[in-house]
Amino acid sequence: MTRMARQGDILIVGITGELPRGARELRREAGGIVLAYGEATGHAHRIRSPHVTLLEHDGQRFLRVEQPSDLTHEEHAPIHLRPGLYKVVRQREYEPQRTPRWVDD
Amino acid sequence: MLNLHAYRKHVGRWRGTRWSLPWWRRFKVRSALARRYRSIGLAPPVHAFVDSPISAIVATGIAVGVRWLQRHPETHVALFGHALDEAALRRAIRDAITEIIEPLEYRPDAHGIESAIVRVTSSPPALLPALLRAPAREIEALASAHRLAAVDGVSDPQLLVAPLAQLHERVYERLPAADRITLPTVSDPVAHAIDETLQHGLAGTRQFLARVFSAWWSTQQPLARRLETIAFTSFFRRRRAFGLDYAAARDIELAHTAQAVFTHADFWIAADWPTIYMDEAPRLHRLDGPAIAWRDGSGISLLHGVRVTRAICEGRFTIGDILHAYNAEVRRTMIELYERGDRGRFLREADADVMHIDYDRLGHPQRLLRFALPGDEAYVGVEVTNSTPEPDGTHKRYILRVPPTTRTCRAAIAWTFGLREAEYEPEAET
Repeated sequence: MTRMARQGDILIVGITGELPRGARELRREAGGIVLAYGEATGHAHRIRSPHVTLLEHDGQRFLRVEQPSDLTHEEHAPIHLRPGLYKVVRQREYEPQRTPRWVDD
Repeated sequence: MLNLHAYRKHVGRWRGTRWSLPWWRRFKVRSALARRYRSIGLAPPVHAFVDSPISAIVATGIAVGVRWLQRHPETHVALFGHALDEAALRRAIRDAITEIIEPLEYRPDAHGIESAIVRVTSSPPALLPALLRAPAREIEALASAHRLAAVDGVSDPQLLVAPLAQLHERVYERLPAADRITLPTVSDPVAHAIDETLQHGLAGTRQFLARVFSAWWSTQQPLARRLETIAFTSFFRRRRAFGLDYAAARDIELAHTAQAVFTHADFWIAADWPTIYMDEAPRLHRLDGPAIAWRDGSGISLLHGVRVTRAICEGRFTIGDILHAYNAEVRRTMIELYERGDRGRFLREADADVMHIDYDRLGHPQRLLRFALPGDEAYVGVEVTNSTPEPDGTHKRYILRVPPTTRTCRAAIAWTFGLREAEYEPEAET
């Protein structure tokens, strides 16, 4: 399992143990799993492999990787993910007295 | 004891009122005003509905002057240098409108204002009752003729303002002392913004009709104050213990179903409501356009509830303007606008202090930058390099804003992913 890997504004953090109870599977898009789209470019952090599932619990997203798969992006080199469970963290920016805003590549 | 919760709710309804004026609401305004006119012995006069209070104010101020000119043809040659036939009067109206609306950032449609003036001044002027006549003195001093014209036939005090003030006073006197102290004030930011915007109209007008407008507007009670009194009085009008003249209170309230209404012995002009835009607070706020926008093109720019110029609202300003912004919230929004599509531009160009330098895994330098903002927390950002090269081999650099307490580049990057410095250890980074 990869412990921690970063692709631009996405951080993938390996987790041990089980997924939280009640985590629900999110639907795949036509081109695979999309973790985030760029605001202006339309580029995406994407996993095409059918052996990966995206889940969500309480606003937090997780990946279940059953076979080695790649996380790709038009502007970044791919990240190789080994089988295991991962937490998906999106980069944020500080905004005074407001909720942090997500960063978009 | 006064039910403060119910009062606040009532006031909130008034403050939040953003009606439009379909025919049935116009009908209510017309009927209520007709009763008000009859109550002081005048026949309900001709009227016009315009799209905004700004148009209504400009149209009324000029129409007041036109009515006075129609009553005093003997002054025309002295004031204009020639007799005023219909065409010359139309020209004078048009010129006055242009002069008044020229300094406004969002100008209302001049044609709509002109049509309203022509509509309400096309019938022959009625004989004014004594109470509405300007003081009878010789119109020798032409320099002050506009002031005389500005009060001639203006019926607001008798129709709406004075009765409302009396009703307000009556309720207030009957309130227990404790309630008077705890009574929350009603403040309508939209009305305040209109009052402020039209301050422009008070200085430096040259043409006769524009000067009448300025003199008339300076005698008018601010819109914000009118609204306060109406919201207050309307809350008590169903409570018999306060001894209000129910019919008067109801008619005044109904007349203000329009956003603003201005009256004269010969006519009245009422204004429609705007579209307003809010932030999540909710405060008046809109980027790229006026936060208060009327159909006739007039509007008022606000960012997070603070009045700003149109240029700031549309992102046309310099870094110097950001640093001189008097309000922290506005300054933040200006930085946000300044950095649209170019994250970190402000820190890059503002000659920020370098707080810390280190290198990423690929040996690219990273910098923690800090810029102190007067009266606000410092702008701190971490400047990083995109690990993946561009097609030409260069690496894009960008700045991410982080909490002002951040001390190192690594802690800054860790924070952007919700981690502490020690927890951030990526094996791969692309």
